Amino acid sequence: MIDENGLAVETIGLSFSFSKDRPVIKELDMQIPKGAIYGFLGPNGAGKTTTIRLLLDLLPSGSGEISVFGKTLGDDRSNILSRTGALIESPSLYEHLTGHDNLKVTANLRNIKKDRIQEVLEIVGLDTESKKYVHSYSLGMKQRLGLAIALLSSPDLLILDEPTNGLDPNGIIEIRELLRGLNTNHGVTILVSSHLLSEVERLVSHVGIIGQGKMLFQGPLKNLQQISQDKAVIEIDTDDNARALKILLEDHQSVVKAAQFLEVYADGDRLAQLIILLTAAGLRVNRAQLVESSLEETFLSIIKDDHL
Amino acid sequence: MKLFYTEFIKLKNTFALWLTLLGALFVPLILFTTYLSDVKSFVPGHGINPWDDFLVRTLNGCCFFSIGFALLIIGLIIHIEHKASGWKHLFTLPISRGRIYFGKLLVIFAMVICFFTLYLALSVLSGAVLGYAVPGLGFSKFPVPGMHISRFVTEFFISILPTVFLQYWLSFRLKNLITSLGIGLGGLMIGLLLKSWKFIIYLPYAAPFQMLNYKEEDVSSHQRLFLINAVYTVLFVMLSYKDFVKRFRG
Repeated sequence: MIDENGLAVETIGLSFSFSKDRPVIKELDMQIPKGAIYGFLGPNGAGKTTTIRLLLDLLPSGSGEISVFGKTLGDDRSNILSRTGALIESPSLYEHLTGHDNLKVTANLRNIKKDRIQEVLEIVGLDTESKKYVHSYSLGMKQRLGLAIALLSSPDLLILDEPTNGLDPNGIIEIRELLRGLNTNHGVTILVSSHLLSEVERLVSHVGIIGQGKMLFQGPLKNLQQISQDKAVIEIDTDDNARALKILLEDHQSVVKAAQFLEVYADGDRLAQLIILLTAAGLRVNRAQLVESSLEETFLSIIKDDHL
Repeated sequence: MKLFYTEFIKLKNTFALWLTLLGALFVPLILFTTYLSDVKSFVPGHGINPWDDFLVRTLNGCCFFSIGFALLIIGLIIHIEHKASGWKHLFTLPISRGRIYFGKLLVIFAMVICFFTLYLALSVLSGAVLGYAVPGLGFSKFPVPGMHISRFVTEFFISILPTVFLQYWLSFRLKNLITSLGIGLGGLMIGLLLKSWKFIIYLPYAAPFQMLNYKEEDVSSHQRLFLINAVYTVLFVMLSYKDFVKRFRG
């Protein structure tokens, strides 16, 4: 059982296409540990929403397997969906109704007690605005109401497709804090998709990066951070860069000559050693600087497929 | 039952309830004022039942307006879901698609039946009030032909079933309300314009107009129409249900 392996969601070899000659998802293996906040990242059109729609049975199943809480949708659709809350792209809201009525609609359909409506309104901070019609809500309020609807069933798994789309920085921070609280206080596993790493890197514990329908990277965020550190470059400028290059190559360093300086591909710990090596050879080191790759650059290099 | 009730919550603050009320009131009110404004023209001859003439007008009005109402109410109810991008939300709830399909259909039928009931009740009421207000019109001298009305309603209801199911299918498939309504109204226009063409009974939208100038003795001539309608109804229910459950993605 996948559930026993500690995974809330797992896909194995998931493939899907809207037409025969245009596959959208290609052999996608996704693993979301229970209790994780999983950032599902990728550029627009990479296949994030399609994958999410497949997870939620909104698209006909392609080839491969999808398991949620250790069960396939075909086996236990009703139970899986009753444990899952979802917000896909823009929230589905009846704008001619009040916020409270919108929640009442879903609460009725999910057989949820009315008391829970007030609870979720308080969680998302809309309790004082619930009697207003949704058409008068701001974009951020609508997004929060969509989140409240997703939270109605006290889900074990929350699937959010670009939940901060169109929100201002304050709104993004509010949603981030809300999700962090749900994860920490209620143990909710969260899948949150975005095309911007910067938007979710302060929130997520795990990352999956998708590009052209393929999973390019998957794992804990710290693994991505490690790749970022491994991609650090030491820039060195001496009074004789040609001789410095020769010395570094003899020392088996990975080094290339740039226009004004040398680039050594090594982690930051080697910086002092390299300076000692070059000064011992009688060279004057004018500049030695560690230039680390940002997480965003690592992410971009992965989706450009020049990393893996 | 909760699904049914929930569908009604969605109709709050929409034109649906007003449409039912005002639509049902329109023809009875016109008839009432017409009779009152020109009493002399409507005074029946000796021994003639004024309800006969009154009901022809009422039931013909029903043929025209109730099918138009059905088209509008179906479009309105389904458009609520399209406008809210509600399908994707409904399909991620732990409810079967079949229940969603029949839940909405049930609300549509409830509204149509509500319209019929109101329309006919208001028509009979206006006749009764006319009989009381203007005794010369003779309405109070004869009983209300309840059996005639109930036969008409039953047969008319059967005649509009294929149109309702077809329009329901079109409405959830076509996001644009104007497109689905346009097809429906176009079908009704053809059905009305070619009313006397011998093959028109094969057009589902034409069936309501075959019930114009309804007479009970027409029952046998309507049997072929009912048979075709029954076949269309089964066909449209099966195809639209399968499409909704298996293929429709919202």
